[in-house]
Amino acid sequence: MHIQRTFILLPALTIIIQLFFCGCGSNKKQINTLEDAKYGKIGVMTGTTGEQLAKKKFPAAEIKSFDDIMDAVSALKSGQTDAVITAFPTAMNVCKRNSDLHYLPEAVDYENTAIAMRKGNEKLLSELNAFIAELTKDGTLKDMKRRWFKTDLSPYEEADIKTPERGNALKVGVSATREPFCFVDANKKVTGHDGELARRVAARLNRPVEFVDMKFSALITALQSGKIDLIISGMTATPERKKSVDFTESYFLNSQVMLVKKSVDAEEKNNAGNVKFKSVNDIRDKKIGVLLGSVHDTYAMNNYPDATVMQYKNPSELVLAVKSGKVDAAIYTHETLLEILRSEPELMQLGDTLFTVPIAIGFNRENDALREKFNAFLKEIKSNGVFDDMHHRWTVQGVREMPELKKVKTNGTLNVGIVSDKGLPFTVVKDGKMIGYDVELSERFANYIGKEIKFSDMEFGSLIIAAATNKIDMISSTLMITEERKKKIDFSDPYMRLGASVIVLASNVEKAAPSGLKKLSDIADKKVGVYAGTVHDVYVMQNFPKADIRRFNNPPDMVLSLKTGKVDVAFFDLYSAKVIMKNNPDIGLLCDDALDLPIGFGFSKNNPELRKKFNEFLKKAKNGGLFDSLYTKWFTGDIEKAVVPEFKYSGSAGSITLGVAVGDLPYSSFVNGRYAGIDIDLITHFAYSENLKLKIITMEFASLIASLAAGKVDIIADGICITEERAKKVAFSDVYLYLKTGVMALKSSLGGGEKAQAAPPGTSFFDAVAKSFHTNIILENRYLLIIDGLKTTGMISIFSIVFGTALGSLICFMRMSKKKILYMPARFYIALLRGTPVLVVLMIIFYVVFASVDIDPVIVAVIAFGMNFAAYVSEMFRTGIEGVDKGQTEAGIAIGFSKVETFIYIVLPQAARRILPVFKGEVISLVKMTSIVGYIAVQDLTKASDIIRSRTFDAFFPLIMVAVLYFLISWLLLLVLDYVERKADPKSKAVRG
Amino acid sequence: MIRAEKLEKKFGDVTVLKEINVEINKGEIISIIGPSGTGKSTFLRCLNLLEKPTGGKIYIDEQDILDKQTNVPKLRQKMGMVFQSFNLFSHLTVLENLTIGQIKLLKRGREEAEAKAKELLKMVGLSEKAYSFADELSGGQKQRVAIARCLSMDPEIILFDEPTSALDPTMVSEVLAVIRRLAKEGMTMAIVTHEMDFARDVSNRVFYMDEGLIYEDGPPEQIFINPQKEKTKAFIHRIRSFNYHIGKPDYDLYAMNAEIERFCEKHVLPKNMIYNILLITEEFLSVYMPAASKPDLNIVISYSEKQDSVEIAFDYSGYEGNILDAPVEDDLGITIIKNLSASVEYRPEAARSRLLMSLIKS
Amino acid sequence: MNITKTTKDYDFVLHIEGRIDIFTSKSLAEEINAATENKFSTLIIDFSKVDYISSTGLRVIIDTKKKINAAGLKFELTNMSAGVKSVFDMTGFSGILKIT
Repeated sequence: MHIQRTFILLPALTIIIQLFFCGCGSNKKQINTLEDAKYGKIGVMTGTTGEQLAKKKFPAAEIKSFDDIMDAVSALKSGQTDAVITAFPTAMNVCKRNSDLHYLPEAVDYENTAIAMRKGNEKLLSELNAFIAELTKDGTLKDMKRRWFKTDLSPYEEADIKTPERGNALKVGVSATREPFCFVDANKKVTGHDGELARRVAARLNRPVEFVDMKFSALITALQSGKIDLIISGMTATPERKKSVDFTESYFLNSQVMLVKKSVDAEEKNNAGNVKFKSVNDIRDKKIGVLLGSVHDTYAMNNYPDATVMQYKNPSELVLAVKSGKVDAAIYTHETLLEILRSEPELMQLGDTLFTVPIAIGFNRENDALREKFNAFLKEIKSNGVFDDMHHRWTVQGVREMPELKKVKTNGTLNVGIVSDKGLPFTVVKDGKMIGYDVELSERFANYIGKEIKFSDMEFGSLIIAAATNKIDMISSTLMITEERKKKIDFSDPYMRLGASVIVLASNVEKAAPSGLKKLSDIADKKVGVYAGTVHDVYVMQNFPKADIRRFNNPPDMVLSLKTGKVDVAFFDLYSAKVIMKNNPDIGLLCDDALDLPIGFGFSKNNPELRKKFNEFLKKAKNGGLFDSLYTKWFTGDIEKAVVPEFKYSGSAGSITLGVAVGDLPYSSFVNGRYAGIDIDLITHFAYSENLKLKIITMEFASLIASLAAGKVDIIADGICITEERAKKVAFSDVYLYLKTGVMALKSSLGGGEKAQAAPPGTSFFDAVAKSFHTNIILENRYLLIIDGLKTTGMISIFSIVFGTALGSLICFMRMSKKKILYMPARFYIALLRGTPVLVVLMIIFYVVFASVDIDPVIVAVIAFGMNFAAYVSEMFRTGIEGVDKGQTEAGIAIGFSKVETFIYIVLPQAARRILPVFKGEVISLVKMTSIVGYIAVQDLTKASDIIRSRTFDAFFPLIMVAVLYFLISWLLLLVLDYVERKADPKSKAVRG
Repeated sequence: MIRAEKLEKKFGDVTVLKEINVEINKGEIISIIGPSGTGKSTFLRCLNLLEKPTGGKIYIDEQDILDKQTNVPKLRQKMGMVFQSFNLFSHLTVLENLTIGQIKLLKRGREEAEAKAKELLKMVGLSEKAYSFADELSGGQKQRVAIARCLSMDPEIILFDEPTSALDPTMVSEVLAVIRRLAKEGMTMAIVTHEMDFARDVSNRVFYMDEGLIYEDGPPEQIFINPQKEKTKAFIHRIRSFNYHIGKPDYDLYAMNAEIERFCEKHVLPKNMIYNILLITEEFLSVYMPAASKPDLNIVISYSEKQDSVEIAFDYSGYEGNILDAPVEDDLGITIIKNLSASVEYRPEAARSRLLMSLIKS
Repeated sequence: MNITKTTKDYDFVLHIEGRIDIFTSKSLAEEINAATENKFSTLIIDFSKVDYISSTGLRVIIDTKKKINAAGLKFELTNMSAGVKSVFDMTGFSGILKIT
């Protein structure tokens, strides 16, 4: 009986336990909207406003409080909670680093961030408020916001705030785990937006700053007890807190958002299959290729610590690496990538531009005069239109010709360091000459200062050191300004901002369907929807004349057409596009960088007063934080819940009429029976500030300008782009925003998916080779490059051999001497040169020994290779000589030859025979070694191949060709040496009988 | 012609040549013999300064070759050297070996040089090898060419450093023939050699070198047939000896026996010979030890390879006269001794006596 | 030197192994003395393993012969090697001893 019971109980128990765990485990709730979290488990940080908020807004949910945001995030990731409510900047940072998480676009709530202090200190409070107002007014806070609240993972730009060393330290309480408000950097320094703010405050109060790092929930208590003087840690000024402490004015408008896990399917899809990219973040643990020593290099290292970063010497290698799968993605200059993508159908850009960095010209630190001259030059060409023209020609139009520049009298040379295979539109070699934006800029500058230009072509990695050692006067090679580089060289004023983007194999991007729209140019022959009469209209007409343009008057029509396939793509401003995409999950973004347009409010030309008033208002609003708060409200927060405030005022100063074309947030729309949008909000505030009654009329977009002209309205708005055309009719206010354009299409028609184009059937191997031959050698007279390179390589090889052999003989003689004073230095020389890589020797001689000397790098190459060769040659000779039997020497001496005569007539001939085979080997080695001279700006055979590759992106052919040529050089030398060997062999030359 | 005074050569701490004083005159054909490692080659090589002496002087035709001013290479041209390992110039043909010195040093014209070279080759019997290279010749041929090479320089003296030591016995004779011919023609030569018969034949003066000196210097008849000095003799007769000293009354017979046996076995002496040696020794001792007042005895057992004979010498003091004549109880021992010895010789020397017994060969 | 004894009928055999020389002769004499205590008609000394004999040994043998003969007994020496025999020969002992 007992046994039977046990037999039943045991399995039953097991099942029950399993069910129990099952129930616990599979509690994955997929949260897509705030609603979904109503009954879920929400993580918050103890003592934060998030905690209060969660309890208030989600009374039915289970709220779990964590001491630290990272604990909350871990809980979310492991499924112990379904969502986390935290401040937006924190959420943003978490998502940057955790691709499996994202935050819902609807904000939970908005809040004011301020500095907290003990009650009762009126003086300090007013001082701080004044300071904050100052910082707001002079744009410091705005700049801080820009620097610390980035959407990408590029390094932070820190401001250097000096605080006094001595004095009564200002103890600032922080919870330094909330990036980017407050966190600890690699040097264990407290930094971040609030870290900087705290330092500024301390500097203002002329006290040293001392950070006291503690858990967030402990801050208020610490403040009250006097352990700290201020709290500057992204703390929201809530009514509850105001009971215990005082807050300054807000220095940051924040929002609380909900962090959730992305949908499981997406994750699984991500993991399945080889490498499938959905977004840029997907590259974070893959193999990423970058150009050695570039900003992208640093960026990748810093932002993708889990990735394997592979560094390449030049862009064509980088591209090849992606194509061949050696890396999964590559980060490179956006503008150049566009050029590359034009000719590489297998590749596509992944995601948006990562970041933009200003580029400038690099100068030696001592050469301020030249740098000043350049800055002046830059100012001049910016003002006289040359700069814009250059940009237009090279970047926008894609012109491939250098303009004719006036000849000027030259006095001296300007040595410009350049990378000849950087890629279009910056620098390439065409028809044996260098062309490109950088080339033109340098040549114009040379003209400007009356010097003859001399280009030094080198590897990108060598540019900085070349400038730092005065080997070149300036670097003109899309050099991005970084702190690191500033330590070694000085930069001119920036002249452009370059983007950095990611390219991947199109086949690796998660495909939606075939027949892809992959890039903007793909719309060239499609049906394109635009708003009638807008800038988009004009843009498409001008740039894609073959496109079938369909014009619409309002957004909903256009969206519907897109969904039903009546148009293939539709142009919207980016923010509207995002809203639309949110509401229509079947619509996706093709690209967001088609146009960037400034927008402003339109005023009647007849009413300059009003416009002037508005501009002043706008300025105040921007400086005073009003604009920022509005921006946050309408752009980053949950705009569908944002409302335009209703002000109660007399309106006795008059009335103004605002004309809007409603339909798209965040500019102007009609929501819940009220006008909404930033345009509306701004004007409302403006009216309020001017005590003017405001009347709003809606109309079609196309009618706005006409109405203004007719005096039917005083102001028009709706994200109106400022264009020359319109400026004729409309007096625009100052620019208040830049409109990005989103080009949208159905998700199903987006994305890559085309296989790499195989050679069309019928193309034989020989055809392919012939084609390669033509492209790489014949086209643009590329064979001339090769011949030049060949000459250089040959020359360097021969001179090095001669010099090296002579030096080697001397060293050998010294080495074999019995005198210490001779053999010690010889042995040292041999050990040193044999033990140091030739490249290092080469660079030391060029950059250190001949540091400030203007010496032809070819001579340096001969010296370096000769010295290296000599070390090996001397040992070879010694072995050969010692290998001759001593008896031979004795017989020679016995016959009556002197030591020298014996050596020359008896020993040497025999030694030479032994040495020659090894010598031949070393000679060939040397010829191949010369391929590294590119590092000191010598254009040899290898560099010629690099240059050709950078134009044709053909990997196979140029390399094979160069290999063949090196082989030929070696073979020819071998023939010569074989001949010498034969002549030296007595048996062959002896006349028999 | 060549004179060495107090010539000394040390290699580090080892003194190879202690003190050489000698004069070599024109027309002399000197063989230099002696055990290995006694400095024969070293001496020869000092003469043309291939080795630098550490002491003393050398005069060639009254010119001090150690003087810094002397043009040694020029002097060397007058002295030819033939090496044990031939040392032909391997990158030149045979003909060129013979002409290179003539052309470059003696400044003769090519034709003249070649004519002379061909003549010399004929003399050594190698005309047909004129255009061959050294590695195509046999050892004997190489050496003959080497000799011809020396002759091409018209030297006043030729130094031969063991010219046949590296040769196959079959080739030794061809080289010796050439040297003989040269001797007949009156060339002054100094030959370091191990070929005793040849040395005896060809030379008119012999140096026996030992102990870092020219130990004995004399005509071949003296050195080879009647060597005066002990070591010379030992060398000539290829005598090997064994010494044993007994200085006190109790001695270890068995230990001595063991050593004697070892010596005998080393020279592969037959068993009965060993027996006889041991027996004679024991019998002698049984007579001597009781008779001597204070035993002081040197036993020297000498084996002549050449003559394949054994001689035992008892050199003793402590008893006046011939011990064999000592009064004994019975003459058993003496009988045995006398029976085993082919001859017994008694020699008084100063305060000591010497009994030499040569054993009967079996 | 080793001496072993065997008897066969009325023969008493002394087998000697090793050297008979100035050192070992004494013990040989002692052994022989001891042997003579026994009853035998012939005393045989086996020289098969003797590799050496010198005059001292010869003396012992001669003394032994005198004694044995005086007792009216026989004395034989057997199995001598050539070397040992030659010593007997050259001293004339071969004539006065029975050597087999």
